[in-house]
Amino acid sequence: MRKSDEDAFDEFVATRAPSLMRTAYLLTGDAHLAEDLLQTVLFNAARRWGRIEGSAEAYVRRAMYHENISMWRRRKVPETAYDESSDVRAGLDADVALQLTLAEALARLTRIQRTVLVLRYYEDLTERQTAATLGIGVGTVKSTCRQALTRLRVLAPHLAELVGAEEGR
Amino acid sequence: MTDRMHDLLDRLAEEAPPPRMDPGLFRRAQRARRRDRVVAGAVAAGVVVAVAAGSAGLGSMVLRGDGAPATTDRAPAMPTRIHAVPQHVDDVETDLAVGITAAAFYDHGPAAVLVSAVDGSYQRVDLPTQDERRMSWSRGGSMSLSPDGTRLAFAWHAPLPARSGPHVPSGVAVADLRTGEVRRFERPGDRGVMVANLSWSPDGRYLGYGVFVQRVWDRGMSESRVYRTERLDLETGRAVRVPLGAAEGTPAVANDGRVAMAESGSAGWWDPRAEPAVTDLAGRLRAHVSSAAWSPSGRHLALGSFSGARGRVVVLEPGTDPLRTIESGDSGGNRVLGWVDETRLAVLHTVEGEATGTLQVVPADGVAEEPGVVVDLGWSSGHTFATDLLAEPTREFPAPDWPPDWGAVAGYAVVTALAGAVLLVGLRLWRRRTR
Repeated sequence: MRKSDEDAFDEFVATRAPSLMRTAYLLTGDAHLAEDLLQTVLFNAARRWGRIEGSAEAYVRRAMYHENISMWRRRKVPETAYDESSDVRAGLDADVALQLTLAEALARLTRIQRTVLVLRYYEDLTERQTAATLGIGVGTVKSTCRQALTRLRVLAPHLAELVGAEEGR
Repeated sequence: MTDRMHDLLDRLAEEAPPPRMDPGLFRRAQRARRRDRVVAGAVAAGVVVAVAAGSAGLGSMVLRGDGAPATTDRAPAMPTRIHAVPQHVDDVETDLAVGITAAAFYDHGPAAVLVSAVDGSYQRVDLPTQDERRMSWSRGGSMSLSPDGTRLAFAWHAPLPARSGPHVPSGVAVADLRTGEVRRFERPGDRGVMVANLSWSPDGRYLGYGVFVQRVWDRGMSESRVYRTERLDLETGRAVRVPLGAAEGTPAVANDGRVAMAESGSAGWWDPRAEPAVTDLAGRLRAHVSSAAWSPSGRHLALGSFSGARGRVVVLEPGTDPLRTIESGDSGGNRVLGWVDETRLAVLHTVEGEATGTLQVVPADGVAEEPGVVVDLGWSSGHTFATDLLAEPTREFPAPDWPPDWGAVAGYAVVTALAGAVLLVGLRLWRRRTR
C-alpha cells in the first residue's frame, strides 16, 4: 500500500533525524542552536513534502547548510578571542585534548568557514561538490577552506600537525 | 591524517543530543502552507479593493492583513506576549493535533485558543464538548494545559436534552495535542456533572478538579447544589473524592497525590497517608489566598493572593513544625500557576482594571526580576500555561497574522461609495445652478 505523505515524512524524520542532528551540531557548535536549525529545515521540508525532487535527505541537508548561514547572519553573534590561558587539557588523553581544541577553535571560525570545513572533512564532499551544495564557486570553496585552516592553525597551534596534513589534501 | 580530521569531527558530532521532534510537525507545516495560500489570496483581493476604494483608511486596514505568516519553527518556548483574538476572527479547527502548546484561553466566541510553543501561531479549536460548551466555559477553569504543553484537559458532556431528566454522560476529557486523540473520563452524578477548576500535578500524572453535580440540566437551564473535589489518576483512570470541604477552589495535586486548595482566604491540604488526613490552615495565614501549587518534589506549597488583595505569594513547607512560611512576589493579584523548578514559581500577576496581566517567574524567596510574558486579557478568559516552558528563555514570535476584517472593509467601501455618489450629485446640481 502506498504510504501517505505524512507517513513518509514521519519515517524520514525517525530514521534520518539523528544523523541530521549530528551535522547540525557540528555546524552550530551548540545543542540548542542545532535543534533550532533542524526543526526549522524539517518544518520547511514538510511544507514542500511531495514536491521535493530527488533525494529528500540531500534536499534537507542543503537547506540546513543555507539556513545555518542565514541564522548566523540574523543573530549577528560577535566573534570572541580565543583564550589560551585556560588550560584544561593537562592530564587528558592526547586525542581528547585535540578534540577539545578543535571544538573551541571551530567556534571561532566564521559560519561559512565552519560550514565549508564540515562539508569537506565530515561529509567528505569534494571541492566541486561543496561548491555545488552551497551555490558558490569552486574557487571560493578553495579560498574559504584555506582561510579556515590557517585560522585554525593560528587559534590552536596544537592543530598544526593535523591542519598541515589537510592543506595538502 | 584526513581520516583523523574526519574521526575527530565524528567524535565531536557524537556529543550532539538526540533530537526532540514534535510528532505533529507535518500537520502543522501543512496547515501553515494552507494558511499562506489563504493570506496570499486575501492580499491579492485586498489590493484590488484598496485600489478601487482609493481611501487611505481602507488601504491601511487591508495592508494590516499583509503581514508575513508566522513560519519560524524551533524548539518549544513560551512567547513573550499572549495576544487576544480580534472579534471578527471566527474560523475554528476541529483537529487538536496542534503540537506543543504554550498557552490556551477562551476568546470572545467562546472558542478555545491554543498558542503554539513552536511557531507562536494561534489556533482556534472546537473542543468536542458539544454546542453547549458555553456553559462549561462560563464556570471558569474548565480547561487546563499540562505543565509540558502536550495535553489539554477540559470539561466534557454529551448533547443536552431538550428537557432535563435523563442523565447526561459527562466528566473530564484529556486531549493529546501531539496526536489529537481525546480520552474521556465519565464522572457520576444525578443529571450529569459540570467539571471546573482543572489543574495538573507537576509530572502530569494527576488531575485535580471540581465537580458541579447537576440536578437540572438541559439546553436552556442548569442548576447545581452539590459541589465536590476530585483527583483523577490518568495512569489508572481512577478518580477519588477529596475531602476538603465545599469550597469551590482549584485543587492543586502534588506528584505523590496530596491535594491542596486555597479559596477565599482559607487553605489546607489532604494527605490520605497522614493522620489526620486533612490539615486546615484557617487562621494561620495573614494573606488572602485563592490559588495553590505544589513544587515538583512536594516539599513546598505556594499559595497566591487574588486580585485586589494586597497580599503576596506565600510559600509553605508543610512538613515543618512550626509551619515555615516565606513571602515573595509583588502586591496585587498573584495567581500561582505552578512551579518552574524547585526554587521558582510561575505566577500570573494582575491588577484590577488593567487590560493586561503579566506571567512572571518569581523566586520562591524573592521578587520577579525578568520582564515576564505580557498577557492581553481583553475578552479572553481562563488562561492556562505550560509552565515547564518557563524554565527556558521566552521567545519573541511574530504577531499573529489575523485575516482582514472583511466586514469592516465592506463597510468602508460602502461609505466611500456613498460619499462619492453624494459628491457627484452635489457637483451636478452645482453645475446646473451656475449655468
